[in-house]
Amino acid sequence: MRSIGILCAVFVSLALLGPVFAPYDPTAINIPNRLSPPSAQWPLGTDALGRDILSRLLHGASWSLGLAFVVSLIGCVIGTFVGLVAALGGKTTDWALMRATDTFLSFPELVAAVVIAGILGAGTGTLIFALCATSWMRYARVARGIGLSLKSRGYVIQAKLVGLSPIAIARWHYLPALLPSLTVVWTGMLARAILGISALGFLGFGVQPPMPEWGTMLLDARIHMRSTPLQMVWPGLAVAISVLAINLCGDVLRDRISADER
Amino acid sequence: MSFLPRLACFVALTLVPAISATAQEGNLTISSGYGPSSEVPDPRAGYNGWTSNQTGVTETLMGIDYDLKLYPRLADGIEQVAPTKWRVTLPQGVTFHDGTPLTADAVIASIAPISEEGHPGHNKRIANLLDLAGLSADGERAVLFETNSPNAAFPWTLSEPGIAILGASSEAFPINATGPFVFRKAVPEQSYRVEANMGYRLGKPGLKEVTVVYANDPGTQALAFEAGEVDMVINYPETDFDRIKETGALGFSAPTARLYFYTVNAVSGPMANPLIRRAVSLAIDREGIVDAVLSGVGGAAAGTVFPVGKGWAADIPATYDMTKAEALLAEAGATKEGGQWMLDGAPLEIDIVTYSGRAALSPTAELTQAFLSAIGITSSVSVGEWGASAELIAEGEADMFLQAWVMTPQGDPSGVLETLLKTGGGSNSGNYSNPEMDALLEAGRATFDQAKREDIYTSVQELIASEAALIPVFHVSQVNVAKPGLTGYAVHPTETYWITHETKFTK
Repeated sequence: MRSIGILCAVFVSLALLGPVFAPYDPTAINIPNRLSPPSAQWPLGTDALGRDILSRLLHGASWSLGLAFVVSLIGCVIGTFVGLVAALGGKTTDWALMRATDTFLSFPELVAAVVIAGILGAGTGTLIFALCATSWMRYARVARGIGLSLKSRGYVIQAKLVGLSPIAIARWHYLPALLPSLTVVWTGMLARAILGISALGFLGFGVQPPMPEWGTMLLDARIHMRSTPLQMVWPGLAVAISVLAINLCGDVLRDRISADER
Repeated sequence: MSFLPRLACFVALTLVPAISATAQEGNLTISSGYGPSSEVPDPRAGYNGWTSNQTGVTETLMGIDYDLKLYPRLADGIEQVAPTKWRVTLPQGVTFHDGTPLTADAVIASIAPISEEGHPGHNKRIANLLDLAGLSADGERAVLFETNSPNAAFPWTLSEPGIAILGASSEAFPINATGPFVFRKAVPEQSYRVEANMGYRLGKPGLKEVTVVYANDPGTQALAFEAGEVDMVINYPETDFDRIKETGALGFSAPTARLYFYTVNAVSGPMANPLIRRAVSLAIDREGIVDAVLSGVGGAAAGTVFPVGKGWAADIPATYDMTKAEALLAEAGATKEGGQWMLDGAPLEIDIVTYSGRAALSPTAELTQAFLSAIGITSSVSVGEWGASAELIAEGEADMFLQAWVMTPQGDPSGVLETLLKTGGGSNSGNYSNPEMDALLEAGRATFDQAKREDIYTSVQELIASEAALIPVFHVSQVNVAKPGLTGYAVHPTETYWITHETKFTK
């Protein structure tokens, strides 16, 4: 438990402070020293344009983890809003919103994101939009489910009777009840967002050069996979470990919340 | 599962590779980055002719040799009988794959649809190159071509792979041509299979079957080669070329006419100013790009559009001069504040777009960005699809568009320069327009004296350089690898010829 917490703290720190620890400018090209192996000067070696891989990984953490945080948070807000409106609205509203949610859910997330990114063109804004558009549905389902169960609780009915507005009821009664479950969903979606960002980056739809992002680093390194395989290993490891850490953290949170509920 | 079925499975699994290895003797599987668009890709449409020409299915009336010299290929000869009339004579005894003879009428029936809108073989690009006013037979074995205006490039145009000479198609021969290989099957975006034409007029082909499989990722192509799935890779990753040769693979590398260059937005934004265009051109260290992107084995820095030593190239060096670049920026009215060039009170910013179809494009754009940054010009790089990038620059939303084109696919300089730089040219996505350039290009097309033509195209290249009408970066060498045993193959400078009847592969 402590080790998972430390690992997560490390990744959060990387996302926030990665660029501070980077020994070099991640976009500084150094042609004479291209494809250098790991050494004291370049701990993880250099890429095809002579850029320090460690610096790119550290800066890439801000992009990969930071964007994942933003995407999953936007998805959480949209999904929670949709779920609560469905739960608090009438039957027609509930039916319409849930069918829309099911329609979005029926598309594989990554395929849908690739289609959106392909239509709108590569770029960071497109990346965020594509992943947000395909990540809100799970929050909506969870928020609606919990919302419906709360709807018939006495304190909620009392709040309605005393004339509290729906927004106030949602703020004071629904959101506190939703928070633990949504946090667990959010950790899972955060890990999926990291994978999604890396996947779209690898397919060329993500952050544009020369900015370092783990998926685009993998994309750039694939051509050198046979001659300098380490170039692919580092960003691959970064993605794998961060996703694993966040998933484990989510598992611990879920267990804690389950224990509290019992 | 009982013992006997398991034994049968084991024997079958053991024998399958052995059987297929035997069946592959004399067969060649090539990995390439571009695939057919349909099950029967008409060689005249789009760029389908490139594939059919590369695989030895189709032939053209004229051909381009390895020194970019024109020679009669399927034709016996060509003569100019009037300023706008050309007479092409055909040899005796040439037959199509289905055994029907090559006649003047067959040539006309093959070429005429290129200009007919709505016909599956219609090709606007090639129709513009031909610019035909009429076609007629002059007996059994001569064809008279009449062009709308005098066109010195006409004989060269007949080497365009899309002007393939085809007979009537049938179920057995959907692409009925004259080459050493017969088209058998194409799977869109996957494969293209041909078999030997045992009755080929120049001799029995050295290969029984050639299959081209498509993978648009060079890394995937390299892995397929090492896994033994393909025998040859066209455009192998340059960075892995030395290593793969050390494993015993055959390496083929030779300069081609393919140029990596920037189309510039000539009507809006900072690149509309020729002084800024020249400054940008001077700020690019082309040698550095070649070393970094092509690992020093795959190309040569380009000062002009045509490759040095292959004809038509003017003597224009690839100059890298940051001081001069900055002087030109100052002359253009830009001022340097805190290391950043400013133009009209705002930072001088250049948007670069390119596409992902070739491995060297993205790093070339990134290096350009770094070189521009070194003199204080901010730039952005966006990697999308070719069509989207062309649209962005045509709509004025980007300033530079990095592309890679074979500059003399027919061996003549006129066609590509006209489409890229003539006012209203089909691929003039930067909307460059200069009456002097238009006049020179028209004169180049209408002048028949070779020495005078060379002078005209030298002037065109000097004008391109002085205006930075497009910014050449490097000519790429095609880097191919094959398993040991491949003979009778060499890299062609136009990239449109791969397999001949003399190509052999013994494992």
